[in-house]
Amino acid sequence: MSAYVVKHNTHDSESFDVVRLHGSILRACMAVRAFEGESHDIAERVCKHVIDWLENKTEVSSEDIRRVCSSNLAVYHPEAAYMYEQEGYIL
Amino acid sequence: MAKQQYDFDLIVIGSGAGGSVAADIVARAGQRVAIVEGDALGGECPNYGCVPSKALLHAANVYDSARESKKFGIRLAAMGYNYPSVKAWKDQAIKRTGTHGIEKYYRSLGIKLFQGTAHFLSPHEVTVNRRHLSSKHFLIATGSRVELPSIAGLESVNFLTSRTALDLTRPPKSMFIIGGGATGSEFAELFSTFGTKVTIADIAPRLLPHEDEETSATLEQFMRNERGVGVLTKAKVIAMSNDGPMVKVTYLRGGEQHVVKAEKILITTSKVPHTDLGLENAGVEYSHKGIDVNEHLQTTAAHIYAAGDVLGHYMYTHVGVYESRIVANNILRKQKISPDYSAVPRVTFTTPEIASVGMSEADCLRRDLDIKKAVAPLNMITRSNVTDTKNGFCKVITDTHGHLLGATVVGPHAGETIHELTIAIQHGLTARDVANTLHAFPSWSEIVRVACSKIKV
Repeated sequence: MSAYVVKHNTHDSESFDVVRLHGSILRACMAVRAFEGESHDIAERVCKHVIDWLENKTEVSSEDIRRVCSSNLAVYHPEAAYMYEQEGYIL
Repeated sequence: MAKQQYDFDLIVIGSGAGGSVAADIVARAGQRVAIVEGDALGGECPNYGCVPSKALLHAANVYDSARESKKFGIRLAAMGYNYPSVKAWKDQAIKRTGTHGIEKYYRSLGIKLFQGTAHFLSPHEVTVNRRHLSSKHFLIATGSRVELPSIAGLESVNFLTSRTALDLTRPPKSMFIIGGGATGSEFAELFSTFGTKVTIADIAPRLLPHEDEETSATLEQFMRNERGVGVLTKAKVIAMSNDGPMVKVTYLRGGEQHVVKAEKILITTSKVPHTDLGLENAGVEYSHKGIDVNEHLQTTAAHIYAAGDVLGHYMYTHVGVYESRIVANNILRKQKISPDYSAVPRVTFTTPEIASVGMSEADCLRRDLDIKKAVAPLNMITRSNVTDTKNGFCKVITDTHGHLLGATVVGPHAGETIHELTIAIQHGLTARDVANTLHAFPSWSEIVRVACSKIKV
């Protein structure tokens, strides 16, 4: 994984942190009362989608991560996706 | 001073037909231009598309002509082919397209070249290999990619695409082609000529479903009778699995499940525009079908233009070049122009060659147009007799006043013959105008005159 993420506000670039993304998704799932095990499972699946999407990219914006993550999360848990979109969990 | 606000005046994303022409014109006008290319320079057409496939088809046609030469009294002592040499010929044709050494050409024009994938970070900024480039204008010409069909087990078999099939080192013993469009039909022609047992399948009721029915019928008949190709229309491939060195293909047809085995699977189903480049960050709207543009080829972000396959309508090199020229004009001049798609020629390089332009009969019916049509079979002209070529026809469609709306030519050199009808349609000529034009005897073009003379207004 060599992709970098350009932050929306500061325009700084930092290495993509999958652990951080996993945590954000997990929090969104738990916030809508998803079971802990289910939340971990969803977070893992969504992270895999994001990693696959990043495969041929060197640099993306934090908005891209938010958008791709959110659209994939909506497949598994629409309410968590809504929560993820509304809250400032991203990176 | 405002000009220096950005690194460039134009950044072209994609160096294929839709991008390179605009880059060339805008750079010649003294603007600062950059090209970003994530794959081979020159794009799909010269590297993996039209040029290599037509070079291989030419070799196949020469081989086929040699096999047929006996009936003209020509005797050949030995007949055969060496496929690695055929492939070498194809590679030579690619090298001669001009994409080799194009870097030097771009440098001479002052065009900066960046190898890597571009990704928008904001409306005026892209990142390429973590290098941020800004520009006043952008042209998105990223082309298209093959969309794999949803077939169970597809990922477990070693299938070919229109790109990888060009690099086979020998023709396979058998091949199952999924997709009966122009690309699938051309590959069926190519490999069946070199002795491969080809089966071509499509969910559509006929090959080349976008062409007129007579066209599909003529091609299907030739493929079945002359080439021994198995044509499976209305067939839905549902599963694939490895079976030793072969691939087992399961398909549904006529409500029944069938199984066929083939050495190679070739997928030539639909292409989808390549839009995964952070368009959301630039405010460019798009869908699965392609990028939305207005009549001046501007996207929803007015300073960003799009041209070529990425628009998702006419996926042809010549349309890409045409649109690219229009984009260059619209960037350089205040007076913006719009593309005219009323006469887009389309050619399928099979035997017989198939070319069409303008509206098909089905298009006219969908628009509820009152039309007149005429079909002239190829054997009405002398050239057909002297070359012993019987398969083919010319069909013209006009409005009730005789103005040409669409035309199809099926036969040798149809790809050349179609252009007089293209001019006629684009400039609003009538069938009578074409029929009253002298056509050299005995040329293939005579078939156009004959068909047009059959239209009575």
